[in-house]
Amino acid sequence: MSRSLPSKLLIAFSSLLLAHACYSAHEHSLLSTTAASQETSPTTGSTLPLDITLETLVSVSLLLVGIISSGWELKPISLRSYAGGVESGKILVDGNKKGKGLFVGLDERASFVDIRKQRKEFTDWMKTQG
Amino acid sequence: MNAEERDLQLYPIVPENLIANSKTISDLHSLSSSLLGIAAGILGLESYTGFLFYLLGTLFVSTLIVTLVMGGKPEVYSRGGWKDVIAADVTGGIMSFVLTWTLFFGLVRV
Repeated sequence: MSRSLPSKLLIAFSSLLLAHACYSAHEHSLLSTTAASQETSPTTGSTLPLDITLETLVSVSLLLVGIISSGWELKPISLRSYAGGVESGKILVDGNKKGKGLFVGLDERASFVDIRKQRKEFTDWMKTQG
Repeated sequence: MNAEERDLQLYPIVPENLIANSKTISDLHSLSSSLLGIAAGILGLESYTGFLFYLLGTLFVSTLIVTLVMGGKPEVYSRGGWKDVIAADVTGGIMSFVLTWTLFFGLVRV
């Protein structure tokens, strides 16, 4: 996951906007409690002005867009498209090169071993050791 | 062998990718639901309106995930398609939503 620059800027800007909305809501609640108005019941302190409401909603939606668009990577679940993507180099698995698929361990096995030749080499080596 | 098993035999899936994808989606949901809780606390929502706000917010987040992360093709990345994206980790999401909701309600209003 690598964050791109626009989403970083979007996250920073909308966090500032959200913090400002939070501070404004706090100030508004202080204002409505200190303004000793007898006719207002205490429940009306919870009605926010329209601009703070809009600021909160806009900042949270921008923050969500910024977080979700910041380079989250999903891999295809069907074996067909995943193995095809790995082999053609579109999907990078750790240390994999283009042209090497998921079954590289089966593709690149050692061929048959000439056991007689190896045994002869071993006996020659044993003779040189004395 | 029923139809679903035969389908799995014909079109095999990669279980590691399935698990990694659903983990990423539930991470996104829990992160965004705590942010939604902050918004609900600042707005001062109470009882049913708050949960309605969570519902709408989760739908918004799910559409964002389907369009931005999955490129409009959810059935490539999860077995159930867009239903899996919406229903991912609902209980954990509600928990973190209520946590930050009550926290910011108290911070702003008391």
